[in-house]
Order: sequence, then C-alpha cells, then structure tokens
Amino acid sequence: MKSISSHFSIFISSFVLLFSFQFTNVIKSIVNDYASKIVNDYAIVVVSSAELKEEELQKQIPEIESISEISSKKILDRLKNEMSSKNLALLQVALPKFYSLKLGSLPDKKRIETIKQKLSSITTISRVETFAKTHEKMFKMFLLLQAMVYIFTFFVACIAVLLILKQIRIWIYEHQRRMAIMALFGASFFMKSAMLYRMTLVDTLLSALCVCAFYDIVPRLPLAQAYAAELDVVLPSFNWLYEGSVLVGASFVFALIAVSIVARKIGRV
Amino acid sequence: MEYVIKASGLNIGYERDEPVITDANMAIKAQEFVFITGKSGSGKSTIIKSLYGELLPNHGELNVCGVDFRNIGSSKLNLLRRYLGVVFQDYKLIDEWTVEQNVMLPLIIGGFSKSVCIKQAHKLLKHVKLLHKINKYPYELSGGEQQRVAMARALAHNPILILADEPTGNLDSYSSEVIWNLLKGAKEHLGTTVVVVTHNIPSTLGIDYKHYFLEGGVLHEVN
Repeated sequence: MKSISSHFSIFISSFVLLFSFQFTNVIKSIVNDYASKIVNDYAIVVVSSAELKEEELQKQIPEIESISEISSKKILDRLKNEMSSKNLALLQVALPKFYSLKLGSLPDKKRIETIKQKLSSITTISRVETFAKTHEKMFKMFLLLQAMVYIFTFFVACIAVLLILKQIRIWIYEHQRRMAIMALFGASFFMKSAMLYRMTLVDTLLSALCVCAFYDIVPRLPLAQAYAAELDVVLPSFNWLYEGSVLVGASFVFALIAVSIVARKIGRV
Repeated sequence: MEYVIKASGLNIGYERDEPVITDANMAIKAQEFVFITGKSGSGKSTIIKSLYGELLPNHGELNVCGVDFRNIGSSKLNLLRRYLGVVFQDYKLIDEWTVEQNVMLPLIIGGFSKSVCIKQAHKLLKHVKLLHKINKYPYELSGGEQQRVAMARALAHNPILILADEPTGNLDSYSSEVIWNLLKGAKEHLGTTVVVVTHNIPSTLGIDYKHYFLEGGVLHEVN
C-alpha cells in the first residue's frame, strides 16, 4: 500500500505537469485558429485617388497579404435613376477608389496604428479605416485568455514540483540506507540509483501515456465537439508522433532530473 | 604486493572533532589473521572504517590492496571495495531484499551472471546453515542468523581482504562459533587476509594470528 502511494504521488505530479503543459499547447492552438478566423474576416478599408499596387504596398507594410478593390458599381447603380448619364459618367471618373486590405496575421493596437500611419503617408490615400476598436476588443480577450492559461499552468506546475520535492524527501529517507550499504560494497552511482531511475521512469512514462490518451480521446467525444462548435472553435487533434514524443521525452527528462537530485542528495548524506 | 595493508603515522578523526587515532602503524601481509583489540571507545571501529574508506585519514600513509589512499577518488574507492568483504557489527543487511539477494549483492556489483550469483549464494548459505531461509527477509531472522547472512555476503565474491567489526559482539555461542570457523576457513582455504576488531580474542581459535592493541589513539603491536 505504501509502495502504491509512493508510485501514485510521482504519477499524479508528473501527470499534472504534463497535462498543464499540453493544455497550454491546446489553448495556443485554439487561439491561433480563432485569430486566423478573425484575420480572414478583418480588413482595412482605404480610400485612394489613384490605383494602389499590391507589391508596392507590401514592400512598405509586409503584414498586407492581399488588396482588392471594392467595386463602386452598386452605388452607381443606385444613383442611375436619379442622375443623368452624363453626370453619372463624371461622377464615375471623380469617385475615388476603395480598397480592402487583408492582413496575414492579427496585429495588436500599436501595430495597427503604425500601419494606419504608413498608409496615410501615401499621398494618394485620403482616408484609412482600421475598425481598430472592434478588432482590439476581440484581440484583447484572446490575449487575456492566453495569459490566464499561462498563469494557471504556472501555478499548477509549481504545485506539481512541490509534490515531487515532497516525494523526493520521502525517497531520501526510504532509500538512503540501501544505497549506503550498496556503496560500502563498491556499487557505482548508477548501480545504486538504478532502482529509483526504473521506478520513476515507469511512473512518468505511464503518466505521459495517460496524458496522450486524454488529449487524443477527449476532442473526439461528441459532447466536446458539440461544445466547441457552439463556441466556434476547432479542438486540435492529438498528434501522437510529434506531441506524443514531446510528452514522453519531457517525462523522461523530468524523471532523470528528479532522480538525479535524489540520488545526489543521498550521496551527500 | 607484499603487504595487503600498510599504514604509517595514521591520524584519523571525525569532522570538527579531535582525532580518535593519532598514530597508527600497521603492516599486514597476505593471508595473515589479525586482531585489533582495545577498550570501548578507543577507536577500533574508526580504524576499520578507514580501511574500507568510509573515513579518510587526516594525515599519514595508508595503502590497502595496493591502493594508495592519498587523493583517492570515488571510482577508485568503489573498485577497491569490490575486493573487500566487510562484516559490520549491526549487520547492514538490506531489509527489502531477501536473504538470497543480500548474499548476492557483492556478486551483482561485481557484474557476475545471475546463474553464478545464485549458485554462489546457495553454496554459502548452505555453509552458514541458512539455506532453508533463502527467501526470508532480514527482519524475519534472529541476530545470529542475520550476522551469518552478513558473513556469507562478505565471502560471496572471494575477497582479498575481510574486515570484520565486532562480528560476534551480540551473538550467541553457536552463531559466534559459526562466524569464527568461517573466518578461519577463509584464511586457511581461500588465502584471504582477515582483520577483526573485537573485545575478546577467542581462546579456541587454533590458528596463528597477529595482534594489535589500541590505546590512547595509538596502535601497538602485541608480541
């Protein structure tokens, strides 16, 4: 029973640590996905007296992904019945060109201001509308969400590390005598610590696999998918090859560091 | 290697305290049987501890099995310990290991195969008349039985030198006799050098031995 609880404390703390680590990745992916959705819906409208060339604008503002002209045909069609064709032709010539600028990524308020300034400095451009307020509100909400997740992860990681340190203290007490006896018969550092390494590696590997399974199964559950659809977010699917190996690798590194601390500490006692 | 142990002007002590041993000189040849006696607290165990490197001398020269203790590193010390068989007064058996596993410890550390370890452990446990308790744990044995297991462990890897710290200190007469016979047998049949720290030299041992007496931190050879 004592042995099971000792395994459990390493398993739990490792699980919590890896779970929160993967949680930040998931949140990051959801936020990025949502941000790209916003950026697709977001555009800066520019009024220019002359034609704008995409390549030239991109040279000055690399964030610009594409520009497209907003057709004035609809407005002219509406005025067709109220104006003579001659006046309409004159108006068509005098009417400035409207452009919609699409950006490659979601910029912050400061960056939008810079883009606006750069655009305004072009002599032919008479007006720039960034819709910054609407965009900024959404963007800030995402930043807040991400920051909250990072803070949450930080505290969870702190608790996990405290649990590990507690278990390390128990291990020092439990294994000190055995390792000291082995040392008296000439056992090397790794021979003395082999049992601790084995125990921790098994526990952390199991916890890594459980975390992998959780993040693989949960996003595929109909309930989770329905909830995500309601929020208009896409739950990322778990990549066993990349994310799985990162989690297993992290669990191995974590186990090696934890045991090395214990073993070195015992060595000094 | 003429001398298994050669010590001159040894000064040994615990950190921050006055040295327990101020002047110890020893010259022990291979296959010798040596007793170190002295009053309680005279520093007998301190000498033994310095011979297997648990305590390093403050001053003086110490050479055990050809290994010079000046600037000895942990890897060299580990290697030396693999050639020693140490018997402790408090047995120092690993509680979570069975009797068989405890006896196999020096063989496992020495890198022997599992079959060799098992064969040797069985042979020695038969010798100390504990083969029937092979799967028991140390806490299931009496003090005498635990010391016999410790003795079997010390002999398992045919060491060059056996260091025994009060090996019969807390034992009944039967277990004491088994221990003395094993130590005697190790010297006579395996050619092992034996150094024993004890209060009393058994009168019925029946072998030649060298005797050192420790008094006031100085080690004297008794003729």
